[in-house]
Amino acid sequence: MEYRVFPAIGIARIGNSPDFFVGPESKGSRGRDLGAGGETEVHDFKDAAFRVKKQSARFHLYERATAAEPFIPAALPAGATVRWTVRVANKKDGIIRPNSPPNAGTIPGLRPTLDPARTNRIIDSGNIAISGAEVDGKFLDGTHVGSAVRLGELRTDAQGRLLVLGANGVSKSNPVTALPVPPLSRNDDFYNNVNWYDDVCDGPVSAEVVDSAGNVIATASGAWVIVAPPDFTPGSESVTSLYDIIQQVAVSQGWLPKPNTTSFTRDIYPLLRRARSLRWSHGRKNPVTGIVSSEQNWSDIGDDYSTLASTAASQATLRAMQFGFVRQVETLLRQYRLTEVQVDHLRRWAAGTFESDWVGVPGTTGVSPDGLTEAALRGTAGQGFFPGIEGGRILTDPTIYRMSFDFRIDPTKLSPGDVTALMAQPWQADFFKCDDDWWPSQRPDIAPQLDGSFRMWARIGTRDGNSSAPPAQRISHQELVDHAMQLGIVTPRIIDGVAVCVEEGRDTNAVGG
Amino acid sequence: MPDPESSRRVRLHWVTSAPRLKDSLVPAAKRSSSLEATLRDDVVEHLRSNGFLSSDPAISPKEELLTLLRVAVEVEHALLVQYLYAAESVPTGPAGEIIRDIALQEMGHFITIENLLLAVGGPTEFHIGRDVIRNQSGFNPIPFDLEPVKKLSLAEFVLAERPQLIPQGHQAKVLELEQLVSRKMGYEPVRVGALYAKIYWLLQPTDDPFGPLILTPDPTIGFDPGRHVRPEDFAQTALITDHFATPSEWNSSSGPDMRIHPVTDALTAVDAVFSVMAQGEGPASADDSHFDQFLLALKLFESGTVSVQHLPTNPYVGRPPFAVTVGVPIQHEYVRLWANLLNVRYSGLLLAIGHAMLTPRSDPDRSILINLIFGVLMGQNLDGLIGIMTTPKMTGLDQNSAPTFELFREDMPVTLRDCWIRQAELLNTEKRIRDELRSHVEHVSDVDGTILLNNLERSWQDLSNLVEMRLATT
Repeated sequence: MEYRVFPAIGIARIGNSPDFFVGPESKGSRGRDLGAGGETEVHDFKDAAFRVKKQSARFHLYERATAAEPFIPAALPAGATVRWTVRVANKKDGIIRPNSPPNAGTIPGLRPTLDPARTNRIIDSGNIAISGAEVDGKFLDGTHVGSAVRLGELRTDAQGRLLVLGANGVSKSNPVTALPVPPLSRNDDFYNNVNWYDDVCDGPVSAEVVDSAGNVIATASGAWVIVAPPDFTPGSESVTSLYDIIQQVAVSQGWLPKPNTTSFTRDIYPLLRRARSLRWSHGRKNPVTGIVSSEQNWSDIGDDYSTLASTAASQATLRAMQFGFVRQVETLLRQYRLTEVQVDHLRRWAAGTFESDWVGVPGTTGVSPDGLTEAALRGTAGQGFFPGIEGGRILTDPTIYRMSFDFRIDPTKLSPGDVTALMAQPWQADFFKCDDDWWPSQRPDIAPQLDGSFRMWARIGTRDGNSSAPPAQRISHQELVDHAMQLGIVTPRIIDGVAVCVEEGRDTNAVGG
Repeated sequence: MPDPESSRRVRLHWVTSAPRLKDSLVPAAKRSSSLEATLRDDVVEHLRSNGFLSSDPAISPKEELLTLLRVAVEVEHALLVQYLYAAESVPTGPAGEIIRDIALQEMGHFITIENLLLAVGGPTEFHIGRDVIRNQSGFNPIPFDLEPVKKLSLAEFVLAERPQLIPQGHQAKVLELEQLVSRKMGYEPVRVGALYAKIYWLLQPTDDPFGPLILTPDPTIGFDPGRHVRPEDFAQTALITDHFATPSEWNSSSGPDMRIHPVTDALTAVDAVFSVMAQGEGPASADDSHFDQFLLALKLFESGTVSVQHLPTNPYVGRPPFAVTVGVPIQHEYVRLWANLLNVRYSGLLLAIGHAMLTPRSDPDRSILINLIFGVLMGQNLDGLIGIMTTPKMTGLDQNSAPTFELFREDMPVTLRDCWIRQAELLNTEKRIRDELRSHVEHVSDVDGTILLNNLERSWQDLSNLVEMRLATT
């Protein structure tokens, strides 16, 4: 029997609430609440005290008898249990940090280089094991210069599946140094702030099947977990996700066949939906009038999918225009390129050489092994690798993946903490600096209000992060460290029968209205 | 019209102190270990072997410094545009991203040199030109050719950014590139670093070593004893700090490491010059200098993994780039209109940079202009226009369709009102071009053009409103 853990890469997120939800596990889902009455689609991303709920990554064990068969949920021998083991690390302050995130093409420079003089700044949980059902309290703890730092917690659900919860979103300097506040020198940095740590992390997840006597009777192919910053915009999706990026690596390497046909429902509808969803989070404050507005281009993308799915020549201009609107993501957002696979699909669609298979908006699919991986990675940002949100350019390095390819990182090629090591230190500094056109699908530029207007998302009192404001009127790095979790979440809602997004959960007592 | 720069132009000439030998490949054993010492050795070796810029001894060190800083502005500006053009020929993949990042970093150098001009000459010295004095200085690192990525263009980029003391692992490659450029182009690219060495020397208060580089008098390489700007040559601190660019103001978003250094006195000035030099050439152990990054791009190109899109060499719509003998005119009327629109926005971007720096930091307009530069003019507008010139639609109409980067004017207004007037002129020109584009028969089937023009019109409207308001009140 072959055992394998899915998703191949799971995404957890930090949050300052003790509550959590399970991250997306199937198409059409934004995550699941684990209530006493069973699992339901996640509704709120903050708790009643305006704290950000953690997103947990849930890992499932699958099995198959032969390589010719599909993976099915593991049915363990009588008396056997799964022993999960996780080791995560945060290496940000313990490596030789380049002046800026690694460029494309700098393999092997995409990998972090440890700084021998700063090894006591690598926050490493060591191997933490858990087994059984509904177990909690297995914490992923490490130290930074002797100070205890929590990186997360392991739990299991009622079926013994592993839940990796992110930590509480604590970023500190050790020894304590204030983050630079503008206008200072280039120490005022979006990327490097020496002596600072945060609690994002990553590392391998492994599983062993253990019999009642405690003997290991099988070892599963393991997975990887990335514990990332919160997604403050669950209502907006990145047009290019880490799934697309890793898929493109595989296609370029010949591990996956290059798609040569295009289905409207499978390949085009998601691109249109994701690009259109950016209207809730991408925009700017007019430097002259001070009015905050959504970028018009995203609203120009249509949602009459029946017409858009038509191959008729009479709709050729419409398709070409819509292709153009989607492709504007490469101009309107920074350091953004659709993958070749995505562009090929869009070209076939614009040319009318695609499968017109639209029968309505697809419903939520069931959970499947590959679907778990795709759902987890689709919720991430796959461009703007300067350095990115969940993972950066290191994920474009073909040498990190296990063969045969199924989006799985080879734990003999990467060490715990390698995926997040070259991300911003701490993550809030990048959230502060990247206030426009970077990752609105995770870090919104703007926040839609109930009355249909927009406000800047990163605002504290009367100040915000907008760069058109004089420096003295902008919020600072330190303020985002202190208050990021109190800002609102651009939340999907149905209001009067219309799907919209609204800023919710803002702690107005702490950061104002 | 009279060239406004001519009255304050200083004659510079190249003094060859020794026959130019292939002696740049200094054994590693001779090299110093620290960044500071390595750059110092580079500078001295270079000046000894390649000669140096000299100016009329009758002019003051301050005038000479201002002239050299204007040359430096133009050198950085020209390289920035050449790199951007080359990057456009590799729209996908890491090579293009590497070159684009370097181009953005050159913009940081450009702004730092504006800070130096401000510190020495005050806010009326800001310079946004590209071809006013660079070609006459004899110090152009490489000819101003808009070329796609190819081995020869990458070789020129590597050599322009190369340190004098080549790291041992790269010596054979650099020698190969020097021979290639010499054989194909008939010249040897000049290192940018030598210009900065002379600037550094003039900025030292005395002959005594000062700041991170240890330079001592040596007339044979242009470090004339006693020839330095004096403390009183610097503008008043209050005037400087009212205008200087700071990283938090000009680099408020994340992106490549942009070296923007505020400068108020001799020490901050030499620190700034040193930082710019270091990012170009890099210390011995650096792997992210422009020199190393261009070598990496070349390595990718030579591996055959870089997909290069055909672009013409030196396309133009008004006039070929200055001092360029071989250019290709864009002739199709519709494509010419788009090229002109790109030229307007490119000119507007340069004007906006100068305009923002001329605007006091206490004036809210300054932040608005900087926000427009980074949030709209550079990314959404200029990137969009650069991209559209290479779409199949455009190249199908005219095989020479490509970004032209022609500046309408290179002089910088010295009053804010004149800046707003110049902005209005450019906006009027843009509106005229936009109207002509929309009425052109080709526009009906130009999907990309329609989308871009609509986006451009929205930002045009924002800027027009601002200009109108300011002209009414200033």
